[in-house]
Amino acid sequence: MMTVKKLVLAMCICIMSSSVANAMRVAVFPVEDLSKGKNGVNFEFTSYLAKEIAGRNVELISQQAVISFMVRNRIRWVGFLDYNNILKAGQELDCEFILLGTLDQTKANKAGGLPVYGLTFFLVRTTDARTVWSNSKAVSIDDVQRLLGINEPQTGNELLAFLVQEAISGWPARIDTDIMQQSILEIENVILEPRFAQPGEKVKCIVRLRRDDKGQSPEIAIKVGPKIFMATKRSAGAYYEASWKGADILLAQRLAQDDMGDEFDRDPYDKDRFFVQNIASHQIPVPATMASGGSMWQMYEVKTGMTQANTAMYDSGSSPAFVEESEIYESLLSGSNVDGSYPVSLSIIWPDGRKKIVFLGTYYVDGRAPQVTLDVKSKEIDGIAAFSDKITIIPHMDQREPVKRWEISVEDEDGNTLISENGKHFLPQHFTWRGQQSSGRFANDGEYQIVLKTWDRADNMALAVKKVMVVKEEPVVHVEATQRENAVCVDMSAEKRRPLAYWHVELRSQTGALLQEKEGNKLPVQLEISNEKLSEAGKVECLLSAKDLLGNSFKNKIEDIQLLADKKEKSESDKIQEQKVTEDWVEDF
Amino acid sequence: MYLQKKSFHDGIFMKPLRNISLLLIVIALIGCVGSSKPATHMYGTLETQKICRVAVLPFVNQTQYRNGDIIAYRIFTSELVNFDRFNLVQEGDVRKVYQQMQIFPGESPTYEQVRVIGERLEAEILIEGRIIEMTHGNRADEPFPVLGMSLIVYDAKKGVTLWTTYHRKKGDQYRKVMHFGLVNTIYALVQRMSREILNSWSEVGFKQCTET
Repeated sequence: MMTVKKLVLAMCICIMSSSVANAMRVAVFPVEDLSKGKNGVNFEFTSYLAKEIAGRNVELISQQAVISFMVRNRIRWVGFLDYNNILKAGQELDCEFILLGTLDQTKANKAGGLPVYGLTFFLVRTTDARTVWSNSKAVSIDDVQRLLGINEPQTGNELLAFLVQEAISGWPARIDTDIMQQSILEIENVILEPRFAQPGEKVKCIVRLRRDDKGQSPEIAIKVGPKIFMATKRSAGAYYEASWKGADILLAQRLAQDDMGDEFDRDPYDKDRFFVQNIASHQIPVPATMASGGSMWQMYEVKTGMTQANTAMYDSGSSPAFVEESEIYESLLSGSNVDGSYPVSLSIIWPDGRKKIVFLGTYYVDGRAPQVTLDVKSKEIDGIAAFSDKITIIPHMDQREPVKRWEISVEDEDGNTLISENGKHFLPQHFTWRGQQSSGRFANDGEYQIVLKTWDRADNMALAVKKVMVVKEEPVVHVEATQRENAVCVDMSAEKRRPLAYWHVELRSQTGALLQEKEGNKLPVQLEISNEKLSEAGKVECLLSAKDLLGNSFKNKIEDIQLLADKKEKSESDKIQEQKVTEDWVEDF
Repeated sequence: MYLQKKSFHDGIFMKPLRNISLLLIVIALIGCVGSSKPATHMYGTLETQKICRVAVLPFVNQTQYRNGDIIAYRIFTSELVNFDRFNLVQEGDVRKVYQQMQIFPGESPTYEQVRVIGERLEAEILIEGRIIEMTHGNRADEPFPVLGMSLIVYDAKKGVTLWTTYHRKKGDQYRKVMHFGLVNTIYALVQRMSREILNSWSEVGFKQCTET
C-alpha cells in the first residue's frame, strides 16, 4: 500500500515537473490601447490578460521585469518591437516568447449601449523573432445576445472579459522552439550623401552594422557600377565609411538593338545601360544605326566629361576599321556625360565565407544648372518694366525640377541690396515688390534690378536678372501761354519719356463759366482763346489734370492765363534787354 | 369526386411546398446580391514560387477614422500570419527602415525605396495598404460598419508592382438570414475582408514557401 502511494506520489511529481518544464516562458508586453491615443498603454488590461493566459501552460515573466527591460533599452513604443529588441528580450528576460497586443474600443452602436472592443495579439518567438501565433477578435453587445438575455454581459468590463476569453481560446498548447533558418539583418543604418552631387564632388557612404554575435569583423565594400570602394571602419561602433568622387564612373547608354555582348558591365537594374571604366583616351566601339539603315561602329574617345566621336564605317558582319574621311552619322547615343544616376550596393564578406550584396540606394550626378528666367507683368517705359505701386515677378524654369533653395533680391544701380528674401524647396509661383526697402521706406525713383538665384539639389546655381524702374513721382505737364495778335495760345507738353494715359484741361472765366474744355491721351496740344473772350471773361483760369501710364496723377491750376502770357512776354523782352546791356560799352566803370 | 378530392389535397400540400421553395430561392438570391469579391488588377506575374518573407508596410489612412491605419494594419497582419504561416517581417523593423529613409507618415515609398526596403528587410514581397473608407457604423443613417481599402503588392527584388486590390464592403453584406451573419464591428469587418483578399491572392500564386 505504502509502495503504491509512493509510486503515485512520484508519478504526480514527475507529471508536475514535466508540465512546468514544458510551460512556455512568455513575457507580456504592455498592451497598446488605441482608445487612449497613439501609443496609449493600458496596464490594467495587461495585468488582467497576463492572469488569464497564466493558466494555459504559460510561465509569465513579471511585469516589472518587462518594464525595466523597456526602460533599459529605451523602448518608447508599445504594440510592436524590432528584431534586435526581440532577441534582447529573449536573452535579458530569459523568455521563449513575447506577447504583443493592441486593444481598441469605440462607442456603442446604439445610444446607451455597451462599447465595441477589438483586440489583436501577436506571439513572437524570441530565438528568431518570428511571429508564431496571432489572433484578432472583436465583440459588441449585438454579437453576444443570448436567449432571454441569460448571462449576457451587462457592463463594458464583462464584455471585455468575454472578448479576452474568445481571443485566447485558440492559444497554442505547444509551439516548436526550433529555430528556423532565417537571415540576420546586419544593416542598422545607411547614410549616402549627397544624394545629388556635382561632377567631381565627393560622395560618402556610411553603413552601420549590427554587431556580429560571433565577434567577427566582415569585409565591407561599396560597389558603384563596376567599381569597388573598400570601406574603412570607424574607431567607435560598427560604422564603415567609404567615399569616392561622384563622376568617377562613366555611364554610356546602349544605342541600337545590337547587343554589346559581355564586353562591358551591364547595369543589373536597367538592361539598356552599361558601365565602362573612365580611362582617359580610351576608345570604345559602340554600335549605332546609320541614317540610311545600315549598321556601323562608332568609336568614342572618352575623356572625363567629354566625348569626341570619330566614326568608322563597315559593312555589317565585318570588323570595324577607320576610314580617312569620317562622316558624322546620326547616333542614338545621348552623349556620354557624367550626369546620371548611380546605384550603390553594399558588399559584405564574412570571415566564415558568407557573402551578401545589398542594394543601398542611388545617388545622382547633376552638372547642369537649372534654366531660370524672370518675367514681369507691368507697363514698359523705354523698354524697361516700370511700376508705381507694385510689380509682379514670375520665375520660369525651362525644365521644372525640384529646387534646394532660392534667393531673390533687389539691387540699385550701384549694386547695393535694397531688399532680399530666401526660401527652400519649391520656387514660389510669383513674387511681388511694392517698391519698398528692407527698412520699410520706399525706394527712390530710378532703375533697379531684380536678381533671382536658384540652387538645384546638386547645388548648381542659376542666375536670372530683370531690370525694373520705379516711378512714383507725378508726371510733369508744362503749360505755356503766348499772346498772339487776336488770341492767347496755351501750349501743353509732357516729357517724352513719360507718356500720358490721359489729360483733361478746362478754361473757366472769373464767374466759373466753362469757356473751353478738351481732353486726350497725347501731348503736346494747343488751345486758343480769342482776345474778345478774354476781355469778356475777365480773368481766365486754366485747370489741368493728367495721369501717366503707371497711374501717377498730376493736377495744376493756373489762376490767370493772361498773366502767364504777359509774364512770358516780359521775360522774353528782359532777355533781349540783358543782351543789349551786355553789348553796350560802359565808359565809367 | 375522387378527382376533385385529389386536386383539393394537392392544393393543400403543393401550395406550402411551392411557397417554401420560392422562399429558399429568394434567400439564395439575397445572398448572391450581397456578395462582392475583391477586385484585383494584375501588373506583373509572380516569378518566384517561394515567398518566404513578407513585409507589410505601414498603411496610409485617407479617412477621418482615428487610428484606422493601425487597426487595419494589425488585423491584416494577424490574418496574414494565420493565412499560410508566412514569415512576417516585424513591424518594428519596417518602422525603423522607414525612419532611416525619412519616409514620413502618410507617404508611400518610391520604387527605388521599395527596392531598398526589400533588400534591407530581406523580404521577397512588400504589401502596402490604403484605407479609403472607414466608418464604425454607430449612426442612425449608417448602422453598419463600412470599409474600403486598397492594397498594393510589390516584388521587392525588382521594385515593381505585381498587383493591386480594391475591396469595399459593409457589415450588412454578410447577412445570411434575418440578423445572422451580420458583421457589427469595424474590427470584424477588417478581419473578414482581409481573409477574402488573401484568399483571392492565393489564386494568383501568393503562397508561402515550404521551409525545411
